[in-house]
Amino acid sequence: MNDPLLAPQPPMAELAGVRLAYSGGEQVLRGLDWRLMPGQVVGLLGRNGAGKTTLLEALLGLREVQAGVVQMFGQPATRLDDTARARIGYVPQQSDLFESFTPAQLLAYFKSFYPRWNEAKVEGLMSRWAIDRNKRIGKLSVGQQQRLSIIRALAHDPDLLVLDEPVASLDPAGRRDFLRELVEGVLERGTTVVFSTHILSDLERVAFNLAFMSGGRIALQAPLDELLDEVRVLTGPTAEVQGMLQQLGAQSLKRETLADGRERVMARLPAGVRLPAEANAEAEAVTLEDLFMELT
Amino acid sequence: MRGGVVHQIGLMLRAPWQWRRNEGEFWTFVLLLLSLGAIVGLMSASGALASGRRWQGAALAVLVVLGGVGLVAVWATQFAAFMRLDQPHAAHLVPGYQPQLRRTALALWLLLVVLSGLLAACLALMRELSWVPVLAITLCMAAMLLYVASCLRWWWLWMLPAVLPIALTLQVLRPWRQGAAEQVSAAWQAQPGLATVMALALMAALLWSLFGRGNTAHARAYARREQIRRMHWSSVTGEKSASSGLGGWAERLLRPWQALTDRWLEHLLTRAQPGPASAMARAEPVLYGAHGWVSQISGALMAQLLLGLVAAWALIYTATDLAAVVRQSQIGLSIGLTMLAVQPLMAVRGALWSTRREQALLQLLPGMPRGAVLNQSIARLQLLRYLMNWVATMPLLAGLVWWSGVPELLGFAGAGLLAAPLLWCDVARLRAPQRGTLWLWPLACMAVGLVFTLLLRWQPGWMLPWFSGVLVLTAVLLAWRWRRLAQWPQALPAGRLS
Repeated sequence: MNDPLLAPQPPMAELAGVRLAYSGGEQVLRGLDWRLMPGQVVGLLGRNGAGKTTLLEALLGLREVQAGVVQMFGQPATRLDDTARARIGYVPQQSDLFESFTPAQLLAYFKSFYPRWNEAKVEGLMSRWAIDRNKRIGKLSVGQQQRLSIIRALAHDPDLLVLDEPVASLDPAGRRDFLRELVEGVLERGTTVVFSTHILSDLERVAFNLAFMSGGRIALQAPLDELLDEVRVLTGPTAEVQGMLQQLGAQSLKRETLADGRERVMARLPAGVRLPAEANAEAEAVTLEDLFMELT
Repeated sequence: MRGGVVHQIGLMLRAPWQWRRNEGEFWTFVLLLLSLGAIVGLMSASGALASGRRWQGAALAVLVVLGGVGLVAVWATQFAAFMRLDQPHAAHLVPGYQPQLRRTALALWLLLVVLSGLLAACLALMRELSWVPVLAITLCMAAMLLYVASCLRWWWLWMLPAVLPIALTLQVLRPWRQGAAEQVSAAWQAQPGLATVMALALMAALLWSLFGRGNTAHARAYARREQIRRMHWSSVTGEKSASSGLGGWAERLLRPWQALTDRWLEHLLTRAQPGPASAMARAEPVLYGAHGWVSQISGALMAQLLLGLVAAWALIYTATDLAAVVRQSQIGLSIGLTMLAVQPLMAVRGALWSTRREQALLQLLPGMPRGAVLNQSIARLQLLRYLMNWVATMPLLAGLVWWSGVPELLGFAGAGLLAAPLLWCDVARLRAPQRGTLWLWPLACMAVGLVFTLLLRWQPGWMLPWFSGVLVLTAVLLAWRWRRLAQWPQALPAGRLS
């Protein structure tokens, strides 16, 4: 008999061959493939204008794609049923709060729609983040509006949390609070999280997986520890570097030709493989910032 | 769901009132509705009495009109809130949200239609009419509510009543119009009850479709509506215009105004002198931004030119009896023109409030007057642009008076003139503009204009003494305010002492 625990779990969300262009004709997503597995915590990285927000909106079904398939919880993302909706939390880049409500009114309003509502969490976060319950949302600072948006997204204990630049408007203390909440309150529940950010130090603290977006596709996705462990920058004579890559079975991520028949290659080595000590090429370890600069 | 359906409906219906309370505008809004009710009541009473009805008939007419206007006002308030609650993220991601919003709108619409039916039934009982007119009135009211909702969804539909009656008189449409009218009339006369039910069902389906589906088109439409809401707010309060993100033809439409303002600024800069008069002239575009006198007056003239062109087109190409149209809508047109004339009353304070940071910078520039001289310079500037705007709206009002042969319509012009001293206030103690409060002055102006119009209708021979009286009273009020403003603290930066 098959053990259900060993059976492969279906992805939370899946995008296959997704193409999306804006009305001006500019292609933003070009045949993008992506899978989010249950419990994964993915940091989405990309330059400004790379299409991160568009990708997250397409993932959630807020934006129709011109080609390809977007599924969430096994359903087409544009036609989710109420059970699926209750499992999603979303913090958009631009505040989508109704600014004329007070925080207390806004939370009461949304609470009435969800089958599950973690009042203790809401109360705890409202107190900890010192949000005035009775002040009009439009009068709260941008950072406090962002915090309120995060509380609203976390309140119904979602199984999938999508955060589009959630800490952009927060001060360092606010960012630390948010990340603590994410680690303690969300990840412990096995929630799948995908969030885009430009603040790399935050990713180093939280994201177990990194997805690099470039040219309208996910150029690379892998756990952060593995990337830091396995990616190296090799610099040396072209023949030497190429020979080494072939010998080790390494995957070339980015290649740059230098003067005098030399080249510089960012490559990912297979797990557990070490570089030979007698190699003529120089090998450097990489930081997250190097990865961001080279892969996006 | 944690809240039952009734609880959710309650939350959605409460939203616009909660918003107004949170914004500190609840009572101002109530006062605004009451003022509007008073004006409408006064208009319908005068109309009923003028058409030869007795007091009892006039009172009944006022009650019915007020009831109808009240229902429309409640619906417009609620549906405007529904449109803001029709948010694409919530529509797509919050379980059960969108169907509930639609059901709430539909339930409220049905309730108001039933109430209007009851109102019509009372009228029928009192005037001993049959039930068929009751159905007709109910149906008209239902259509009116749907039309208001559609206008809140697509703003340009507000223009339909101005265009449709003229367009329907086009020769090309005549056979189609006649055929459609005959068919509708036949269906109505054969089975009025069934026709009412069918029409209501069709309207309910249309109302249902006014809400978005949480997709890209919904996000785009919602963003556009929010942009227009902010633009409307900035045009009313005089705040910096948010038109840049509007895109499309609306933005192109505003370009000539921007070009005109730029050209005026260029002219001022090339003729700049070190004296205070030149400094104040150059300060004007900064103080009032998009609501400077160039765009304000050119806007008023352009609106009149467009109306004139539409009238000319209608005269040439359609069978419209424009004189009859003008006679029927004289009060509405006069009120529209008065609003155009007194628009600076709303815009000036908001513009001064929103440019207060730039004003601090202006204060440091050489040549800028200070103290009481500055207060007087600003007051002069404001009065001049107000009077220029008032004069700019006069050609159409004069044309209206000439065309309709109703000179008492000048009562509205008198009210606009009398409002001029309201422009001058203690700018240093200015507070952030509030939507409701801003509308109170123009409404008061409309009410005074209406009283003047009724007075002149009652005593047509008082025209000259009345106009002289308005001029003298305006001059006295201006002189009194002029003395006060010399004692006020320096005006700029605005609101620093509030």
